[in-house]
Amino acid sequence: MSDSVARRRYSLARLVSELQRQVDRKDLRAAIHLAQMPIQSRGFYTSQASRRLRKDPWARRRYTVAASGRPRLDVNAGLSKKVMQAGATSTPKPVHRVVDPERFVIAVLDLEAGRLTAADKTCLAAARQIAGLDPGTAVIALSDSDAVGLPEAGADRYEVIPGLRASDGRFAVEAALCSLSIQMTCRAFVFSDTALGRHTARSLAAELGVTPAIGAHDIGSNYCVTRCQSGESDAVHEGLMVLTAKEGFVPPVLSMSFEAAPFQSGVSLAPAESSLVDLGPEFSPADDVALEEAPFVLCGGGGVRDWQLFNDLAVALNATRAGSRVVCDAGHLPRDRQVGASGRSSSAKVYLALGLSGAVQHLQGIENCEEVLAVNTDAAAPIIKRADTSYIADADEVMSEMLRQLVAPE
Amino acid sequence: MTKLTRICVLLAVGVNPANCRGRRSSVDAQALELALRFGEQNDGACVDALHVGSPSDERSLRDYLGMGLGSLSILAPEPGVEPAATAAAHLSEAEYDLVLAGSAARDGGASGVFPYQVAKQMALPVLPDVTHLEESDGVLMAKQARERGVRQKFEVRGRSLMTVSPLAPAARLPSFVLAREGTLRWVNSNDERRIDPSAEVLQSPKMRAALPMRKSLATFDPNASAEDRLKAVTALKGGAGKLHDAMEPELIATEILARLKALGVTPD
Ligand SMILES: Cc1cc2nc3c(=O)[nH]c(=O)nc-3n(C[C@H](O)[C@H](O)[C@H](O)COP(=O)(O)OP(=O)(O)OC[C@H]3O[C@@H](n4cnc5c(N)ncnc54)[C@H](O)[C@@H]3O)c2cc1C
Ligand SMILES: Nc1ncnc2c1ncn2[C@@H]1O[C@H](COP(=O)(O)O)[C@@H](O)[C@H]1O
Repeated sequence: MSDSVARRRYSLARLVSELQRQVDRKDLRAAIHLAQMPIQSRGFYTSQASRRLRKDPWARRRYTVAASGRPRLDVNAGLSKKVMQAGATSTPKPVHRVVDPERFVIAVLDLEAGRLTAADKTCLAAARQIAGLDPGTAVIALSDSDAVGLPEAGADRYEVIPGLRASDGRFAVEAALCSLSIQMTCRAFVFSDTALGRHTARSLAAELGVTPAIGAHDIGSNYCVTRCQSGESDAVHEGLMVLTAKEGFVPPVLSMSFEAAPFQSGVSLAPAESSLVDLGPEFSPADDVALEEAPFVLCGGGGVRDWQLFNDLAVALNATRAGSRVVCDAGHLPRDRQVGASGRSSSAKVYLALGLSGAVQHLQGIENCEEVLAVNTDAAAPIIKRADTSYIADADEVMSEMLRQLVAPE
Repeated sequence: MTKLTRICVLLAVGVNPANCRGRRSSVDAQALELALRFGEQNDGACVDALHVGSPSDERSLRDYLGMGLGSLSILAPEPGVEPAATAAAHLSEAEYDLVLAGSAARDGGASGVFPYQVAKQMALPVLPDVTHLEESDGVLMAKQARERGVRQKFEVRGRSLMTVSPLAPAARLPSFVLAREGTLRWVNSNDERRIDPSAEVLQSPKMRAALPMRKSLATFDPNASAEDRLKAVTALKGGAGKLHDAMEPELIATEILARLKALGVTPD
């Protein structure tokens, strides 16, 4: 038994199987050598009670000394070098190419200001899941304007069709997509799981005479699955699929890149007169918007003392007010403003938390918020860990300063 | 559009998830609520309702009658024909100005397609996710729920079908007396031979007992590194960001306001 073998790091399972192998080979010398190796050095110890090999979690930890002089667990110790160098070097991703595809998976994207939204990325990942790495199948991304980031998100081809995301009920989009499915072999139409995506998916399904699969949670190359009947059953959709994918249930595309070459299907939207005339958006006062829908939430916690100031600031910022349970219990805000496990949940674009500790019950309610800003006097409050940017300061002082700057900008 | 007079609400039977018994579907009740309110505000508007189903649905349908609907028409589904086609045939005969439906009455992927099937056969435009309906100066206005609390306004100039969003006003509670006194009217669908013969029953997906549903921890690409996976997991959670201590409140306020403006949530 050479030293190099002995020096190899064994995981518990591998150590045992290696031992077994040596015994099977009747190489008892090697087996004994292996068994006698100082196990602690490999992060194992032999349990006194059972005489069995156990993992020694302490031996596996690495400590660093913090600025305060106290030992701190080094959380990076267990990660590979590659992880620790993340971002330092970026090797070009391998590119998957399809030449002369025969079958197509159509992904219809919503886009927001020329960028892929989270739902669009899920949509493309779902399309990728259906196409796999089959050289004869191409994922075509359709959108109504140019988008960045298509190669990394999984598109083999893309095409811009102006007016594709208009929602005036004309059925022009559905007709165009239908003609696409007659023109070439389409395996699936995938939409973003948004109101608009679900609308087009349903109406295309009606047009094609197939059953749509809205919110599929399991997607394979030729099937997708949705949950139904109050969670009792799964419906397995096969054949030509029209689907939207449930967010978080599709394996993301990470380390590969795709061609995203321009594609010309030749379909265009037939101009049609619609009896629905879009008069544009109407914004209601932010405070009247339900918390679930509100884009910008100003949330006060037990650390806020001046509630008049809080309310004035909310008006000045045009924010929707919310509070922790402590605040609603104290009557500073009505109960329907409570965010958290026993209140409502927010999926705001910005969540500004003032004097809020961020107890788990509260954090449950802000799981889906995009950006969290926090002001708290305590740097150890859990909200600081959740927040994207935190400020250690007095909430009231920051509020009055914000209000002053809003009212009298220099 | 000239004065809107006739509305038909499509009503399905919902399921109580606790005991799997039938009851009114909540979003359909909201659709009916919009229609009833519209009827109360505009004299001469008439609200009808239609269900395609079997006698076993009658009990649940009485909940809708209890909301103040005088009568509800029921069609028996034709064998081998999509229920939506049966509904569409009946509706085109009656020439409604507006057809209202719920956005989705069942759970599961196939839910919400019924109104689109009806609209397709009647060649009506569909306006989805409506929360508000009103008529002013002979013009019908509808508001549609969009992301982040925005309501898109539409002027409706012709016949259309709208699906109602769960964000619409809550439905009134049914009254027992009204529920008992309202009439369920069975319409003989044999009289109506206008059913589109191409509207065969859709091939329905295969059913199986539910398997555990897991969030995906795998990645699409087999060779993705631990680094990529770590990024994918942490990117979703966000957080653990910048911490500023010992900053003047004045500066903090300026910085927060600048960030809010950059994210486009505050007025300039
Ligand atoms: C079953 C159950 C369900 C619950 N459901 C919910 C729920 O749905 N929603 C919810 O919010 N809570 C819920 N809670 C309560 C939750 O556990 C916390 O008690 C609560 O969220 C704490 O609220 P808080 O952060 O506002 O107040 P506190 O815990 O009082 O925290 C105040 C915070 O403000 C900071 N602070 C103090 N003074 C200042 C100052 N001058 N300037 C700036 N910061 C300051 C403090 O450092 C502290 O972090 C639930 C609890 C249970 C047991
Ligand atoms: N059998 C039915 N009879 C009448 N309306 C229905 C029926 N099924 C569905 N609907 C309508 O279509 C909407 C969506 O239903 P579904 O596609 O079944 O989720 C419902 O909210 C109802 O308005």
